[in-house]
Amino acid sequence: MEATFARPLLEVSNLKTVFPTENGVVNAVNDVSFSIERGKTVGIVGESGCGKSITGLSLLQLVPHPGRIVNGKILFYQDETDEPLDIATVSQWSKLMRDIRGNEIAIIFQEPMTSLNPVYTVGDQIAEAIVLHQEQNRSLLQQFGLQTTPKWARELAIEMLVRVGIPAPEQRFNEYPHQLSGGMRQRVMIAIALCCAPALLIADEPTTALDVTIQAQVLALMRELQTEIGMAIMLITHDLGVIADMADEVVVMYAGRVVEKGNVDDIFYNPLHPYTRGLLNSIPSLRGSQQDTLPSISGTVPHPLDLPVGCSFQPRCSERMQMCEQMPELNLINYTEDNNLRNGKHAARCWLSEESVNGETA
Amino acid sequence: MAKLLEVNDLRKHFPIRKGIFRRTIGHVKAVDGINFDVQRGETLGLVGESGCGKTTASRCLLRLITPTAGSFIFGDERIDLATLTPKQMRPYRRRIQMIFQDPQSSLNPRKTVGDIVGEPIRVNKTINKANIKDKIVELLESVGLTPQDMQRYPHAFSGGQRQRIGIARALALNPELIVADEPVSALDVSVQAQILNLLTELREKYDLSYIFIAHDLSVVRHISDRVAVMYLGKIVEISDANTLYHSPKHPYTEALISSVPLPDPKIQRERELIRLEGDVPDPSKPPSGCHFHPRCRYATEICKEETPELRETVPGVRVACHLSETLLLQGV
Ligand SMILES: Nc1ncnc2c1ncn2[C@@H]1O[C@H](COP(=O)(O)OP(=O)(O)OP(=O)(O)O)[C@@H](O)[C@H]1O
Ligand SMILES: Nc1ncnc2c1ncn2[C@@H]1O[C@H](COP(=O)(O)OP(=O)(O)OP(=O)(O)O)[C@@H](O)[C@H]1O
Ligand code: SF4
Ligand code: SF4
Ligand SMILES: [Mg+2]
Ligand SMILES: [Mg+2]
Repeated sequence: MEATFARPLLEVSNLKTVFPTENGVVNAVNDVSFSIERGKTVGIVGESGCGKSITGLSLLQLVPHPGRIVNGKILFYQDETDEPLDIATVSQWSKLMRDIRGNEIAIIFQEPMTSLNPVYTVGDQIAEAIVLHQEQNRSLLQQFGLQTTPKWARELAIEMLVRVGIPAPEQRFNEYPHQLSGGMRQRVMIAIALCCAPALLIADEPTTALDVTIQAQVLALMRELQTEIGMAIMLITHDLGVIADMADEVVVMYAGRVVEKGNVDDIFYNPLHPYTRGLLNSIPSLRGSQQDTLPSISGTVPHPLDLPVGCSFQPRCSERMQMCEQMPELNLINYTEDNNLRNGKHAARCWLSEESVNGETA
Repeated sequence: MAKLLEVNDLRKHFPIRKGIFRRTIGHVKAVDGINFDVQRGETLGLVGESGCGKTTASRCLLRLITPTAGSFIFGDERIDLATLTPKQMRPYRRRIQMIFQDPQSSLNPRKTVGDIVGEPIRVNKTINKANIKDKIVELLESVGLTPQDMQRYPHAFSGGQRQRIGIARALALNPELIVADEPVSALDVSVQAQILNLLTELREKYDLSYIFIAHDLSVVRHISDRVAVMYLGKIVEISDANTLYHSPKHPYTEALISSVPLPDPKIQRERELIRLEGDVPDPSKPPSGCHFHPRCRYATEICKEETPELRETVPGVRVACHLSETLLLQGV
């Protein structure tokens, strides 16, 4: 199963997405670089407004007006031998982009009610998605042993409802979105997103609106389907528990930038950026002893039009120094042989991480 | 510790109406006979999934809505708040205050912070006019805001700061009990930690008691001395916070705790998870017997027929489960 691929599925480098506003330009996504391996899950974490959603939308050329991508590359390696496609250069409305959105990269959002059409039954909406991806679905049809009959879309839609664990699928097929619970609606969204068997699923806070027991079901479902289809997942969330549960790689964002990235164990057991450490410390524990005072990060996230000079975390950082008035680079951390923490992918944007480990610029 | 509040058999049933004559065709038993008490200086956590009745229970306590049945015995004088008329209720309102999830919607955007925080004092005339300003300054400082903030309007504050304003207002009349309904749910983790610390600090400083409602089990554990778990309008388990999380005695508590992903990838990989099937049932048509039985992996015949009472199975632990004594449940 652990096949190693020479190339990632998607490689984002120096991505910058901005919103011109009356009061100035908001750099919603600023010099963001990370990659997504085939079949793996990358978690994007950070506080409200740090640029998680806009990063996700940028990958699909879905940034809302007046936002636009002004710099960087989004290299999509459809297969391993072809030249990559730079999504950053593809026009939002082109047929090519629509094909990618329909067939290669799918997206689901926090509140499925806003993405489902209230006047059509859920079954019709899944069937419509299926018809749109008719070509790809031939293989799915064969997989489920179904014929390409006039009723095939309906049958496949019901099959998808079964697959995402919706009870009484024949009956649910004819129901409208408002008749379903939040968890069911999210399952329907997953069904629609996955009927093209995408290479990448972008899931923007897919379980934030759900209760924990339903969240556990939906996360398990996503993991199961991931193994089955072999798709990669870009999971956007502010919940570090969900990240620990799902992610292989983690990208921590703060004020539009990547402040730290690495594999999930590096981020949780050897966090290098003071912000990442602060975040991890400030979560109350479900086990362990009850503390009186939680370690907390002082202050609040800066306004996007009024960022501090140098390191954006500076005003809240307890380890701030003189040199923090200059923006640090995202430094790759090279672990030495003897401290057996592996892989050369752990990087942090902090002057301290450069000093404490023999780093080199990513 | 002295008892501050005793809630007995609290019920709130909302009628379900249909048709042009708004005929009542049934009831949602949003809160269906709950019992608990709150000691002075204590924080009681109330957890449970969406729709289990947490907000309804707290709105009844504050008499924002009239309970269908039940009594709440409050204070040393042991007055039953459930039976008071709005006028008789007035002196008690001061002593029980509320903090909401979304401070945005509870703060008047056209009033300054000074007006908002000072309003309860002006209305209730608890201190003379000359001292009001000093009191407002004291309140703002106690929640980590500055005297200069008095002149500003709510929109100029971040979510965490707005929650601080809401807390300052709740403290204005020196309450004894604060009911906080999801006070940190809308906040980012770093800010959430600040507000939790503030609430802990204020509890010591002003000798407050809290009823703390949230769906985040880690947050509830952090702040609570005791925790009550609700499911479909009933309390299914109530005990000391550590005991509840380490050795739950109700199958629903066990599943709820097991569903919370821990921010620790190694533990998460190794943890054996109990996954609940299905959704929470429609509260207007709760299942027979034990409401949890269709989702319970330990359910037996009796569970479908008889509703389990909340009873003390171990000293200090009350559970509503027929089989509690025979089950070996797993905590965190
Ligand atoms: N339409 C818009 N006009 C102006 N600024 C915008 C617009 N949409 C987003 N932004 C800004 O872009 C930044 C990033 O927003 P984004 O939605 O990506 O944050 P996020 O990390 O997803 O936050 P959340 O956790 O709250 O969903 C924010 O500062 C936001 O104010
Ligand atoms: N005014 C009302 N009329 C009818 N039904 C109501 C009313 N208020 C609440 N309910 C119902 O009562 C039940 C309990 O709702 P309540 O808001 O107390 O739940 P909760 O535990 O606070 O949930 P959440 O975690 O979503 O805030 C729900 O089924 C709800 O739909
Ligand atoms: S660069 Fe300086 S201010 Fe920024 S996180 Fe590192 S130590 Fe703190
Ligand atoms: S009474 Fe029965 S169904 Fe209810 S929680 Fe206990 S074992 Fe489960
Ligand atoms: Mg977002
Ligand atoms: Mg509520």
